[in-house]
Parts: sequence; structure tokens; C-alpha cells
Amino acid sequence: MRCDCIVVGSGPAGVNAAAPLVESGWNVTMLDVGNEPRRDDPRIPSRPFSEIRHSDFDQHRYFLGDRFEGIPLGKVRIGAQLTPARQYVVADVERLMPTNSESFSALESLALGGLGSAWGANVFPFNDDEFARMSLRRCDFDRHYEAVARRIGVSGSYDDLTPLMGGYPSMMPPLGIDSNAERILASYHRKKRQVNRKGFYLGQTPLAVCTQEHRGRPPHPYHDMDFWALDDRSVYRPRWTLDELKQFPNFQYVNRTFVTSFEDQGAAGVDVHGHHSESLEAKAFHARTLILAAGTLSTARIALRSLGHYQTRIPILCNPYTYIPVINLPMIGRVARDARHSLAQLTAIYRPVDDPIDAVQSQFYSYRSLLMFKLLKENPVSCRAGIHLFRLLMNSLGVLAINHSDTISEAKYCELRRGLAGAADTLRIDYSLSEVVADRLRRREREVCRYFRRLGCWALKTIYPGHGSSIHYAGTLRITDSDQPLTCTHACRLRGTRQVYVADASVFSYLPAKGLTFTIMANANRVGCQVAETLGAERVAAAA
Amino acid sequence: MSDQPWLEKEAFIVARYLVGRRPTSRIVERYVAANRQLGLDAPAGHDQKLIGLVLRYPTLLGPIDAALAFRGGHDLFRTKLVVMAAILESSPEYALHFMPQAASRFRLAVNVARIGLGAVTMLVLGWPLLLWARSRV
Repeated sequence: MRCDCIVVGSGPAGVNAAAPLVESGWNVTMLDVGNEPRRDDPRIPSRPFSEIRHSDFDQHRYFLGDRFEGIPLGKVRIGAQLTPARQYVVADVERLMPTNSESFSALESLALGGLGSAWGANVFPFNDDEFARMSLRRCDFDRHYEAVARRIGVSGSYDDLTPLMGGYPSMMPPLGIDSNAERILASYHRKKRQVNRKGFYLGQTPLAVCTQEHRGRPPHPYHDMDFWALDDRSVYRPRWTLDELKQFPNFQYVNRTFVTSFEDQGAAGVDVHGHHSESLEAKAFHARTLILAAGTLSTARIALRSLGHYQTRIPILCNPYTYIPVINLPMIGRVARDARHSLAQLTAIYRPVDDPIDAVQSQFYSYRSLLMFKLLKENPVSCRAGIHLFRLLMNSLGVLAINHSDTISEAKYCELRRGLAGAADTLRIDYSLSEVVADRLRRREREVCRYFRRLGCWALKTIYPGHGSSIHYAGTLRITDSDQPLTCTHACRLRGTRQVYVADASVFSYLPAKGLTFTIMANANRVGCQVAETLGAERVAAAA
Repeated sequence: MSDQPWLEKEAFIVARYLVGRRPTSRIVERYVAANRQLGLDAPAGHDQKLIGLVLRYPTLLGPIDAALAFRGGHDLFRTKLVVMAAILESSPEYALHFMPQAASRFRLAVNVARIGLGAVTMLVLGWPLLLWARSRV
């Protein structure tokens, strides 16, 4: 098949960049390592969490792992929520894409679906101000948000968060929230006027989850197994879009392929080089255009290597991230509904009145299906007392996950260092926040906790898992207005090339305080549409 | 029977401590396997002293656990307790010990007070044991 476009990566960016091209009839080849769960991994039953606990004698295999990899030792660290069944998401990364840092823990993926295979499914469009800070316009993204929402299936309610997000694309009815979240939301509605005046807003989290039949995917079953299940099609994973693309005759998926570099030949197209991910046998491909969608850090490696920029510093962005276990006092002693989902129940946006740009966003998760023993590790009383205590308090426990915004600075950068004697190149990352910034973040966290306290939710502890733990990375090949090396145009074409585009978060020059996956997908759709138009224009020009 | 009988004895003591019941043979096997897999089967220093003490006098497990929890950190000794808790929690026979328990607010307050009082008592008893273990390493 003569290839019009190669897309590197099968994650949220890759599949959503490929889709408009494939649907327009262009020949697309997707190159991917594409690791999948091991065949001998235990099958996770499609039954409610509470039922499994009482009846499945094999549950230890997927809750703890056959090598007990689900029992975390030491401090809470990045990827703590990656359950044993999802460990395949990070397989081979250390071997093929080593990083080196004392200040930043990166989580990357070579899985089929990329990090999207373990995505929390939160759907947050960026608003006008946030796009403006990236030298982009929200109005240019509206139709792409809509296209992606229809492709992935989004459910949610139009509530107090809607105006702050700049509006939502079409959504299915929202998922039901659990008993814990209901009480918090009810408390918010009683105190709404006072807290809104200070810039605090609360609503249900829009999620990439089906609440009704959508493109052959069923509605959510409310089994509370969302951190464990691999085959639950109600929650969006990029592999569902990949499965749709594979039905097209003009789409080819090539796995076990680790892309290392490209050579832009101008009008003659692009040569793409890589190797088999196991045998290391060299592979080469050619297409008219190339879209890099391998994830911010992987795409940066490919670009730096291809353009000969070893030991050149490029910026890196990452949302600073904090976990705060909380206890919801109104829920203490009450029975919780068993049927629920495990994803984010509520989202809070705090925009300080004196500095609305410096917004903070947090998600509220009820704690149950990640099991009690993980709480015992961190609690200050004996394990035996902890078991008794948490049994009584479990229905009222939750976790606040707080994201802060991030901007480019000289203290946050990465650079590619050549591997010696045939070893893989290493990406060196340095990331630090000034004391002024760190103090500001802590102050905002205290303010958010204060508002949740007013709703009945009291913080138990603050956990800082370290830089990199949000797993939101961006900015390495950012969009700029000026012509600088290792940056992209507004159309996401990589400067210094004619036929290479970047479709993942590498292009974002600012990270607002929220998950970015939905916007990554919308931008990837935008890139795919633009490349389709460009190919069409070139074909017309060639015919003429 | 494993080649580390002390690990099996440890499994019995820890399971009884955590949930008040003897572990099944399946649980014991899993505990031994987990210790080996996670590198917890070769304690040294004060961990070895504390474990030796508990194997001889199982009733000291509660005070030592309370003292270590209060001090914080991620000692091998305490990690073993968490490992057993994880194994018990993911077994249907013991799942009920880890499932949420509804209670009236009055009963909840009484239970929390009782647990708190017990925790303080255990801590007072366990702290000297910790100091002793550290002093003799």
C-alpha cells in the first residue's frame, strides 16, 4: 500500500490524528510497539467489586499480581494507581527509552493505546484564556472537541463547571455519582452562593464513559472495577478507536515497531527508521507525511535525534500534583450504595478572586476499590487498629487529586544524551520549582482544603508523590509565533521540516490546572484534518 | 512445608493478630511466597531482633506495630504486616474483615474512642521495645 501518512503511536493522540485521515480515504500506516496484556494474565471477571470480594478465589492474582507487584513498598510514588493487570502499560520503557533524573519521575508507555490504556477518562476542554496562553484560539478547536466527543463518547452534566470550561461538546447523560459524592454536592448546593463568591465551584466530572449504547460500546455497568478491568468497553480507551480504524482497507497497523528517527526529504516525503522492539532488526518506512504522536517525551526523543540535537535543552511542562486523603463527615456511619463507578466523582475548580488565572483544579474520588491495605501502609496507628478504623470509616473516605498549572521556565528542561557503545539514548530531565512558586501551590492547596472543609470533607494528610506524578507532560516542541528551532507552527508542523507534524502534547506551551488528554485528542484531530487538507491540495496541484 | 519454617510461624502469628483467625494453608503459602518475591525473607538488624522477639512472644506484636506506626517510615517489619493484610483482604474467606461496616454515630464514636485508647496503650508498651531493639544492634 502506497503510504500517504505515517502516524507514530497508538495512544489518544495517534488514533485521533489517524482517524480523520483514514475517514477521508488517505492511506495511513500506524507504527507502534503496541505491548498488550500477557496471555497468562488472570482474566478479570465482569462482576461487581463487592461480589468478587466474597466469591472469587483467584482475586489475589489480579488484585495483588502473581509476583505481588500490586503491594507497594516504600513511599507513595508515581503510577501508584497502576494496578497489576495494567503493568504492561509500562513494559519495555526502561529498556528502550531510558530517562535519567534526580528530580523528575517520568511515566511513559509503549502499550497499545499508550498511557490512554490507563487513563482516568476525565474530559476537560481548555477555555479561551487557557488557549490564549498557548497562542491558540478556542474557536479553532470547537469542531474538533465535538468530533472527538462523538468518537470517544462523553457523558456529563451541564452545571456550574460548564461556563468555566468554555462549554462542552455534546454529551450523553451523566454517570450516577456515589453516596459519598452526593452528600458533598448537596452540601455545595446549600452553600453555593458563599463559596462561588470566593471563586470555588463544584460539579460532576465529565467522563469519557458511555451511559448508553455508543458505537457498539455498552453503558457503564457500575461494578466499581474501573481501576482493574481491561475489557470494559464502556470506558474509552484508544484501542477502541484503533479497532474501528482497522476495519478500513486504507489503514495498516504495524506493531512491534519502535521508531527512532526520520529523514524529511521535502517534496519526496519522509523516511522513517526504527527497529523491531524485541529482535532489534532494523525497519524502514516511507510516506508523504509523518505525524509524531508517540507521547511528549518519546516524540521529543525522535525529533531531537532526527534533527541532530543531542545535548540541546528543550523545555518540559508537567502539572504539579498532590494527593490529599479526606474524610467526608456527613457520610460517617452511613451505608453507601454498592453500585458505583471508581472514576472521578466530582471536580472542583478554585479560581482565586484576586488571581483568576492562577486556577487550581481537583478531582474527588471515593476510596474503596483500591483496597484497604494500601491505607494501612500510611496510617499512624497499628495495622490491627487501622483495619478496625478503616472498616468504620471506609464509606466516608475519599481522595482529592489536585492539579496546578505549569509554565515554561529555564529550571525545567530535558535533553537527549547519546547512548554509549550501542546503548539506548537517555533523556535527561531536570525539573524544579522556585520557592515562591512552591509556596504559592501549597497556599492554593490549603485554600482548596478549606473549601472542602466547609462542605464537610476534612483533609487527613497531604501526599506529594514528586515531580512527574501527574503524568501530564507537554511543551518539548511547543507552538511558537516566532521561527525557532525545535518548535512547531500553529498547524503543528515541526519547524526545520516540511512534512513532519506533531500531534501530542509536545506542542502545548502552557499547561492549565487540569487533565489535558481530551485537548490532546482534539488537537490531534485538528492536525489530522489539516494534513488531510494539505495532502488533498498537493494532489490537486500535482494533477494540475 | 517451606525451608523457612519461621516464615510459616510468622504467617500464623501475623494473621491471628490482624483478623483474630488462623490462616488457611493457602494463605500461609501465599505469605511465604510474597516474602520471598518481595525480598522480605532475610531481615537484618533491628528488624531481625523484633521479628525474633515476636516469634517467641506473639503478644508483643501489637505494641511493636503501634510503636512503628507512630514513628512512621517503611520498616520491613511493618511491611510484612501490610503484606499479610493484602493477602487476607484478597481472599474470600477473610474479605469480610476488610469490608465497610455501617454503624450508628454513637457506636462509631465509642469504637473510635476504644481504638484510640488501645492505640495509645500499645504505643506506650511498644516504644521501649523499639528502643531496646535499636540499642542492641
